[in-house]
Amino acid sequence: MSGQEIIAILIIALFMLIPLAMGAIAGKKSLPTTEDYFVQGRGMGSVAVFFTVAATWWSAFAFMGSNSWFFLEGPLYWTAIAWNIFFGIMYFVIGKKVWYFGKHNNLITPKDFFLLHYGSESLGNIVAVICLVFTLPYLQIQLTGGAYLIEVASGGLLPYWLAALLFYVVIIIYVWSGGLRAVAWTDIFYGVLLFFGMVGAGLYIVNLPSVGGTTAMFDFIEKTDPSKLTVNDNWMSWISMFLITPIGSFMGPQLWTRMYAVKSHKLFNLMPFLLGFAAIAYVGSMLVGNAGNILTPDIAETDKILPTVLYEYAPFIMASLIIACGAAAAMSTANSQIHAMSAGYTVDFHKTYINKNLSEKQLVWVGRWTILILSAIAYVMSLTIPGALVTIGLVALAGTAQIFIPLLGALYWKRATTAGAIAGLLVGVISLCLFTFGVITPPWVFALSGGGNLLSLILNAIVFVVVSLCTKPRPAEIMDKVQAQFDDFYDGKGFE
Amino acid sequence: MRKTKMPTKGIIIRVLLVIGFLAMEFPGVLFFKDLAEPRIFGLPFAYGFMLIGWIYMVIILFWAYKCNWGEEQGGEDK
Repeated sequence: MSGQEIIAILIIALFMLIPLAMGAIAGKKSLPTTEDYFVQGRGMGSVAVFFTVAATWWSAFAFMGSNSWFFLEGPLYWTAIAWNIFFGIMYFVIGKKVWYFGKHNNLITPKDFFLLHYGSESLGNIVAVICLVFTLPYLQIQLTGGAYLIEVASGGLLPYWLAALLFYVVIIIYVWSGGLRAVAWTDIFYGVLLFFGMVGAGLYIVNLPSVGGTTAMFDFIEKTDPSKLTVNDNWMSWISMFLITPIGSFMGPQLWTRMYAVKSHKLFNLMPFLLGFAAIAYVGSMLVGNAGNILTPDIAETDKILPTVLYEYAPFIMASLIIACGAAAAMSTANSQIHAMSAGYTVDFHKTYINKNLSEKQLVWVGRWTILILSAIAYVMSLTIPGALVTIGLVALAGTAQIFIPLLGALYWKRATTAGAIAGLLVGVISLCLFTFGVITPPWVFALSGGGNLLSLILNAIVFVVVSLCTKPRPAEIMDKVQAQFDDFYDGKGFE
Repeated sequence: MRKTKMPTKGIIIRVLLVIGFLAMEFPGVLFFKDLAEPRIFGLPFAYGFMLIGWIYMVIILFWAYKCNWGEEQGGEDK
């Protein structure tokens, strides 16, 4: 084993051991209750909330997939600057209300929220199934991205299958022992790595002598392929990604957990600024992707542009460190997804349909075993189902985004009905599948790239409104209970 | 659902944010989708324009926070 390989293994070991240690400490603070294991007893502090939301929101999709898209499509992915701000605003406007209802009604999963507002077990189950089914492929891309980075960082010593296995064993150990507390603590570590990794990689690469700085880089692209300097006909994708990516991510079960778990409402007011400001990290991806036109113009697997450029042009240790930051991006999203999916299965299905009489301690154990099983499924998927990170990610996000429509109905429209919500969700999900698998080509401007995802969401909204107007309003007892809590919310009561 | 009127400052903040999104996304993108020049901060137009949009939005969001924009939703000391 060469000196370089030893250093690489040490970096990976450090990257794995630090979160394990944090998980072990978090595990000691845990209580054997579902509320503590799944939503940290609703006591998550400000620093942890910011980092766990940011790190969960930014994934392998952002760290690796973005470089690829800047390289292939020019500025298209730059719409991410706006979607990060949009995400932050949603976290404030909607997240604060979800938090409030969660706090006063002991909600743990997205299904709980819909049961409270619509009183329908069927609607709740559809929401829970959408969360599980569409989060799984998004989880798979984290594993694919993260494992590849570990493989590269080890100089090939750890093959892909082993890197993926290591990746998951580490996550399982600390999520198993510490629940959401462990996930949030490790996300502080990952979040810092992720931010500085993205920015650092971009600044280093654009200042390489062979790139010559930002101006020279864009001058080169202008001469060789000027279409990569403009959005061109990708404007539909530009808008679709701006809406679907943050809404889909925001509706992922892992983000619901991060609304319920917050300790103080005051953080919600600051999050739009913090998340919006952090969006500047995309400058790093933008610089890396565009520099790829000079440094690796013929690269075949464009998702791998960052590690390829780093290992060719940066010192080995620096490259390995930045790659570890990329793995952090994947790990911080994957751990949150596994944890939230486990909560979904345990609370929404096992506790409701399989064994209603389990104690809190036994339910936590069900959650742990679910983590193990879901991880195994995602691991097998990552070994057997190939695909580009951003493409898979966008479809998965378009799936969870469908939940946004009945959520808006619950929060802002008294006339929203259960039948409307169910019909809208079914039409949205089915049309998304038909567009994605090419059974139907979306009409009009929606035929442009990304249009199908957006159209499925619009169809969902139209059907939701029309069916709601044609069906009986929600029962008065549900509306009265919910409205009383809305009144308290707007009167500033029940926040402490 | 809300029964009380939103404070004027809250409305102004939301209008300013919507203006930002209209410029950066739709219909804004239709106006700058084919523009590479003039460069802004040394970046092609789409990149530079969005960067200006980001600065504008971050300033609004910071101002919103300093104005205690959560107050209108309740939960702040009154």
